[in-house]
Amino acid sequence: MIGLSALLARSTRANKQDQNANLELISHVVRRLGMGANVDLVAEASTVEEAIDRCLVPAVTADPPDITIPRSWDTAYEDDYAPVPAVTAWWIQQMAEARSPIQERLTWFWHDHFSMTADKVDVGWVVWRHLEGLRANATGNFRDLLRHVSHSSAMLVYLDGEGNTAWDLNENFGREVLELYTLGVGNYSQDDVIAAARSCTGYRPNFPMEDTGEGFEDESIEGWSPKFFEDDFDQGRRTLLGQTGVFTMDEALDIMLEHPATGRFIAAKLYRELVGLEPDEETIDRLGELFASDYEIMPLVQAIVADPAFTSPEAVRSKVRTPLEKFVTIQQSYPPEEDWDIWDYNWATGKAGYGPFRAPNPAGYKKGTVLLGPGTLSSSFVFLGLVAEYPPDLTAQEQFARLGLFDVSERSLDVVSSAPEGQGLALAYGSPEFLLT
Amino acid sequence: MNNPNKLILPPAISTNPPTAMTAHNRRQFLVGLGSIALTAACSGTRVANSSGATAPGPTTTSPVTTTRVSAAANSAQRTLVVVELAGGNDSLSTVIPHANGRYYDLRPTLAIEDSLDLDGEIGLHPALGELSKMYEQGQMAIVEGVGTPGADLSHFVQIQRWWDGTDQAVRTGWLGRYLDGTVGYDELLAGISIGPGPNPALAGDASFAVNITNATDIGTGLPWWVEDESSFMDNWSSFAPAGVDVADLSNLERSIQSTVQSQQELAQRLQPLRKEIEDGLVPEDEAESMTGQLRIAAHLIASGLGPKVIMVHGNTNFDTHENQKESHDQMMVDLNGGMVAFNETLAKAGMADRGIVMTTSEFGRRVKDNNGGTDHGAGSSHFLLGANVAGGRYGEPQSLDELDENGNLRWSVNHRSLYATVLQDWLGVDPVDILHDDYPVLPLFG
Repeated sequence: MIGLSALLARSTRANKQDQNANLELISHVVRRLGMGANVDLVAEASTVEEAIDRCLVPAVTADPPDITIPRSWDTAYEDDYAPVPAVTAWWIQQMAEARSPIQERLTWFWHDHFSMTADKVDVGWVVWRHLEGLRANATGNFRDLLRHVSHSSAMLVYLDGEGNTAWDLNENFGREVLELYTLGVGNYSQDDVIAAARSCTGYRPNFPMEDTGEGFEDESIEGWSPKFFEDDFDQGRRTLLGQTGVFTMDEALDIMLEHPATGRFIAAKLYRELVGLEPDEETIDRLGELFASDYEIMPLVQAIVADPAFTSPEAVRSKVRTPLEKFVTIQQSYPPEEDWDIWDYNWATGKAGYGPFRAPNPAGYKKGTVLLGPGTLSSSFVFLGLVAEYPPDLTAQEQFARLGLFDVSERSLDVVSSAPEGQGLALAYGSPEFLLT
Repeated sequence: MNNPNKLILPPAISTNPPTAMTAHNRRQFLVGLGSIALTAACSGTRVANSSGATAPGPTTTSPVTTTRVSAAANSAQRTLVVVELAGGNDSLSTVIPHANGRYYDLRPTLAIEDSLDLDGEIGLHPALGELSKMYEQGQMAIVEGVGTPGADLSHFVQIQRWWDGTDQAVRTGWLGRYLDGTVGYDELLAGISIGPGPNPALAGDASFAVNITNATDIGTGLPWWVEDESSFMDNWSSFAPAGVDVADLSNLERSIQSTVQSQQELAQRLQPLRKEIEDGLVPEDEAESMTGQLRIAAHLIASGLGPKVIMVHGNTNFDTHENQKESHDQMMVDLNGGMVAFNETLAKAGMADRGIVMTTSEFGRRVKDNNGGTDHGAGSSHFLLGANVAGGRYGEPQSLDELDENGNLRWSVNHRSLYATVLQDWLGVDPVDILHDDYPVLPLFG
């Protein structure tokens, strides 16, 4: 906590109110462009512009999680296998470390957008390959990202692409790619769903099996890469969104990207994510057109951040803080002396109902006021368990500042300052101010 | 397109065996809805309750005064438990048209051959023994051909329609509006969601809906250094200013206050179940199943708490595009186990007449299987279960010969008719206030 004393010095100057409003705005930028409320980042920036520049640094390649390639699907669950929670814990630590805050924010955004659960494919290696592509493309091009996801073994299992063949069409992926990933509901017909599904036939994860001789037996990445089986591919002509042909999966995705609804749908969704307000039609038109011109993600982010709404007073704390954002914030504010092990991460995010790779359904995680229900509200305290030692005795203002909150009501300061020893941090964590972001 | 205003036919076959008419559930009070309306009005109701007029729609062959619901004389003692079979339950593997040869042609890999016959025409999934028993006892209404106007094959569009329960654009759920208009903020635990998160059907503008995930984990899981949890909870609730009417609190303040109060109350109400779990009589991880969730629901009713509505949701995935046989069988075992737990718990408390269970699901599934699974469908069958229910078959048997343009079952009963029925004849309110339109009420309570 290098930054805390400097921050407090700034927040207790003569023009205290202005200073706190400015710090709150800087913290807002850090919270929205990254996954937590990293007070070190707040302390480093003296202006909002500096904070934005710092948060938008290019993506980095991190050392991968410590997992190994399983020998085969059959043996993936043996003692030495690398479980999904290893990837989960690694990922949350990346969010807290925030070397490229925007990469962390966008990777999560895309995981929520292309949501999946590991319930059907509970193998760390498969989930890691899925996440690796999300991270690599999070700040890149949406076309590459969409292709990565559509070909990912985790997705082929999750939305049943593996069972989608010319002989037995499975509409699951074909529908969700149109409804949730590209055009959005209301812009396509059931015939388009079928045409999309037909275009996506033939791909299977092709996991190596131990005994049957099927697939690959070598311990290589290739052995775990999806394969295209031409015999299963539907060779018939179909009409997708007005175009007719024998489209492959990638061609079908390109057709979806050509549709004007796609740019608007994604741009509006990212605007809501970053600004926390509903974009007007003019904004959706402008951002949608920009995005659809080449589907580069960072120019869209830049345009949203440059919109005056992003740093407007209405945008500050206009969203309900998710359990995961609470978890990342507490890790940044109280870096654990002894890391939780992967099973602690798994248990805590599970208890709070917000585990990575455990999306409740293909439409993603719960957001907004539903997170203020008593179950979610109380279960989110579980992340305080990461603070293993008795927390330091801080003033109320320090408690809030350490959690990245500077513009705090007198009432909340009173509640925290009159708390018995040991409760100050937990109360600031449970305060109305901390419930929002 | 189906016609949502199509008349609902009387039960296709009268299957209300005499054995069902026990002295208990035969008692017929002349309650009507007037006295219920009065009770509700005293507690600050905002929905104009039905004044005991005959129910709307052309199908109210049963006057209100003869409803069996009167067995639980006081609306304050009645609980509606809704079990959401999320993902789209395959009703053709639940209520099986075993006498129809077409069924076996259309379901080459999934046809169920050993269903529990109900009447020579249809049978229940072989795992649904408890439900079959309830049917024989006249405690299970099967409504066939349930669907949604403007049906879409999207999970999210469809489940939203089921949650909304209205044609109007709303940001509340149908059960949330029921709570808004009846108990408001006066009863903290009137609406309870049992599952991994709050259910949107319970979202209201001026009422609470509490969410619990299981019976043992009700506490906050605060770290050891907080030391005194009860003192913490008191301090936490002081973010909401004392002496301010709950309706005047901010959303955030109200959330904190209701969380603190509901935690304390729930922990106490579920103490007997926690004891059973502690003693190993009930498995600890059972709450991750419908069986465990329905047991919690029954315990909440048996505790005398008097919740109005409980949503059971989120622990199962009925979206069986692949490997349906295995997963659907397992979910049927689970649902049946839930009804066993529910019935046993209420019977033990002598409160079998206090709760009914209704199923919902966004849609049925495609009639023709895709070699191991089924894609999204349209029409489906749903259940109403409980001692006060007038057992039998309702709606129209779904034709396997006349499918819609996507190869799905057609439907004849708007799902909002199910809502209208339980709102009027079980919860005792005027459905039009909640559903914003007049949907035919089915004679599911006799």
